[in-house]
Amino acid sequence: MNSPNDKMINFRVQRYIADKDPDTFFQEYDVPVKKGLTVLDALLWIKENLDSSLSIRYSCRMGICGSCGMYINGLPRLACQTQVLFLESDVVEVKPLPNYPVLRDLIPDLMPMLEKHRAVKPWIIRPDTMPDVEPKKELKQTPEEIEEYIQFSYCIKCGVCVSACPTAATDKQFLGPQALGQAYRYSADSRDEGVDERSDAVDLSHGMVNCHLAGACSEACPKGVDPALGIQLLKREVVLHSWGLKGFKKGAPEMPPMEKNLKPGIPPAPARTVKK
Amino acid sequence: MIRESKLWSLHLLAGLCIVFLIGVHFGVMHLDEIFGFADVLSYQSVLSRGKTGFYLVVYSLLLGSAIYHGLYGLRNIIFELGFGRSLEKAVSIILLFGGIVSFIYGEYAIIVAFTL
Repeated sequence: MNSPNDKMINFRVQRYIADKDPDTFFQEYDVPVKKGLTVLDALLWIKENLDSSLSIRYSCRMGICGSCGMYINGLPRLACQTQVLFLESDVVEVKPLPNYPVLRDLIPDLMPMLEKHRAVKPWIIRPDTMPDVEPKKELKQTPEEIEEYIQFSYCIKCGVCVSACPTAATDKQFLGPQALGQAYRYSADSRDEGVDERSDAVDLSHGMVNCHLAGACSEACPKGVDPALGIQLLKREVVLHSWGLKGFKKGAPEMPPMEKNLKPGIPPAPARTVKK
Repeated sequence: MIRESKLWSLHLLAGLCIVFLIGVHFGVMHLDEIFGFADVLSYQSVLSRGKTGFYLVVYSLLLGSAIYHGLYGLRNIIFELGFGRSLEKAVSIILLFGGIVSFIYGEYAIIVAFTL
């Protein structure tokens, strides 16, 4: 409900409805804004009160799922993390993330990014295989080894970095900061032995060497990840390997799982409700 | 097939070579009064420099580095225009051929000057 203290903000929203009009157009909505209201809240208010045909993608509303990446007042951001009044503007322009095909209105097609992400093999590669459910062994990793990659593992695949990247804007085949950052995240993991295998995907034209280090990805990332740093570290790793100046690391040693020593007074877990 | 990281690291190395060799060039041509080189622009000075083994190496390295650095950079720019893989292969072959021809031609001039 509107209150007299609300500030009216004009939202210019880019619309694209392929089956009605092949061209994009802008539609304007006036939204009463309270302190703390995010752009996502405002768009949902528009959808509820003014125009139910407006299409947006969102899920968690708290910067975890990475669904609501949008181009807000000239910068790619998460709509759920962008407070309207923090933009300090009476007009808020919202467009879909650049560097992606648009499905409808503010919904970009993130599949090109996800396909590139899959191409760099973003998983632990080892000669042995570990069962996912109830593994019989563990891989030793020290806190210092976790520090090597932990910030890169905060990536939520929102695609904001790719939309900020000037290289991705001009070169559609470029792997992009998201995929390359994740290639480094797994290559730097002490449990991984897949640097050589992963190099086949990143050490190509349109791969890691095409990053021009603009740093826009790191500035735009809503989770504080620094993909530009990851790409430079990946370059160093792959170049040293390709010239034979650095050997391939051996993955972390296997260990038996930790013993389940229950503290006194803590009751055992209840029996399984689902049979194996 | 040569890995892109090898080509790219050679591109960086060629860039470093150029910085050093252009430094030598600037030192000789523009700091001549400080280093005591006399009349560096006269025909005789140019000819005498070309006849020394040091300049044979400097000119050859500068030629090779500049051709490689320039053509690899041009290749990357062309690739970023977004042509298909087959056209990229053709571009690589043309630039490689052009680079080899340019290097041979330049090296011929350097060797002729050395043997004059």
